[in-house]
Amino acid sequence: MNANSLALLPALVIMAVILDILPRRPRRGLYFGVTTGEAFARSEEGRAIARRYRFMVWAGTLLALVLLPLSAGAQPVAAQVAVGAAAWLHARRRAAPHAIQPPSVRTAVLAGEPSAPLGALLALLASFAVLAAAGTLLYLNYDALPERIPTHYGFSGKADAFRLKTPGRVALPVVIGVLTWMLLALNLYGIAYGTRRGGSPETRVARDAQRVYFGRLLAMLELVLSGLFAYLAVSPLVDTQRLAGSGWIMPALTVLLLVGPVWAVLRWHEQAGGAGDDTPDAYWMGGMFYWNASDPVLMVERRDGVGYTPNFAHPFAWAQGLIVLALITLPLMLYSMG
Amino acid sequence: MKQPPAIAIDLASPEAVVRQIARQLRQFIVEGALSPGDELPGVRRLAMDLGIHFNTAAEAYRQLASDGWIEVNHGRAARVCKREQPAAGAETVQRWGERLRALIADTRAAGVPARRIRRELELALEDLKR
Repeated sequence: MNANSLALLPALVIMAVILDILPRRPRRGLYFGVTTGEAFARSEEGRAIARRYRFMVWAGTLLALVLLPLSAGAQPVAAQVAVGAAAWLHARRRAAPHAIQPPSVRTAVLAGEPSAPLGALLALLASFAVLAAAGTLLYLNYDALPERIPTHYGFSGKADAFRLKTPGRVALPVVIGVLTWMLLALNLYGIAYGTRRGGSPETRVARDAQRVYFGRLLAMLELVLSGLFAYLAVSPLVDTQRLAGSGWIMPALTVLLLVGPVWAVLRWHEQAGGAGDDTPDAYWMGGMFYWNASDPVLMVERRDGVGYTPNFAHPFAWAQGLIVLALITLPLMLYSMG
Repeated sequence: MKQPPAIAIDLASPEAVVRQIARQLRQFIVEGALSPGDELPGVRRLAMDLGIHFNTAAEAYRQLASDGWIEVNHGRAARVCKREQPAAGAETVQRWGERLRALIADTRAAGVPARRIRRELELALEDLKR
């Protein structure tokens, strides 16, 4: 097993732990994305569904671990994700016959729009400024870069692939950073202004807490990712053989990426796990994708995990899709040009 | 600080959603839960929170605005208006009395005991005195 395989090992285990935790902490009245009422999760059938789900999740993880020495690439992760999705859909199919009608009463507080989240706005500006500064620095020092620039780094931070210098390749990390920034900024807007705030007093409190929590989380993520892409972009100006300061940055980043998601899931449940759901089951595809043209919300609370998902019937989701498409295609184009 | 009231609609009710919204808002204004100048959620916000179409929320606001209960300006928040109390004519008062008696008769026919109806009326009277 090489270093890259070893790096993937804890990530697979942590993903399995997260998938294992999620159904133990369902949102109020939901079970595997089906409106079943709160008591169903504790019933004999509810517990049997969860047991089978967890068995499948861990079996998928075992399969991924078996594949790991053979391939440190996407295959083990794909195997785990595929089995995890199958486990979810299977559990959902078993829960579906126990679905109940969601309450027909909806409530809304008659108050004006709260003031804009200033902290998140400042974080957005700061993270964009970091990317802009990195872009400017590269533009001004383009000639100082060597003819062949590093295009890939190993886990140790040592450059292991080089290509001829072109403006596109030099700007690649900044371009990815800006597209990621746009995606997160759009999500922040959707969470702040396009999510539902109504519901029972209990649900309203949980929804407010969830909105604030994810707003902060995304703002923090925005800062971290912008810093990371700016760092990757300007690193060849300092050292073309390895990532500048990679001795401590790579381990720190690894710990952050491993511990961060688990911490976020546990904190989320503590803050906002009680929020119920008043979206009809019929508008959820596989309990993962919400498509409801008659509902004006831009984003709704996820049913298959933590956070929010777009209402795919709204053009807002198409804008997000376009950015994701650009994130996939533009870097490939910039990399292969010249 | 005064807590803003919450509106509740029932999608299963035979009463149209537009009417449910307009009726409750009017009730809040009359009872003083909403005062002149109070800001209301925008049409988009109200529609999102209730999970209804924009046009439904907009129609409810339009009806209330045309009756002088609220003012809605494009690009600005909707606000509760200071409304002059119209002087009710004898015919209006008579019609109200008839509607009230009809409502009481319907309620009794539905099996609600007379003392419960009296209690509710007394509570409504108490609200009026405030």
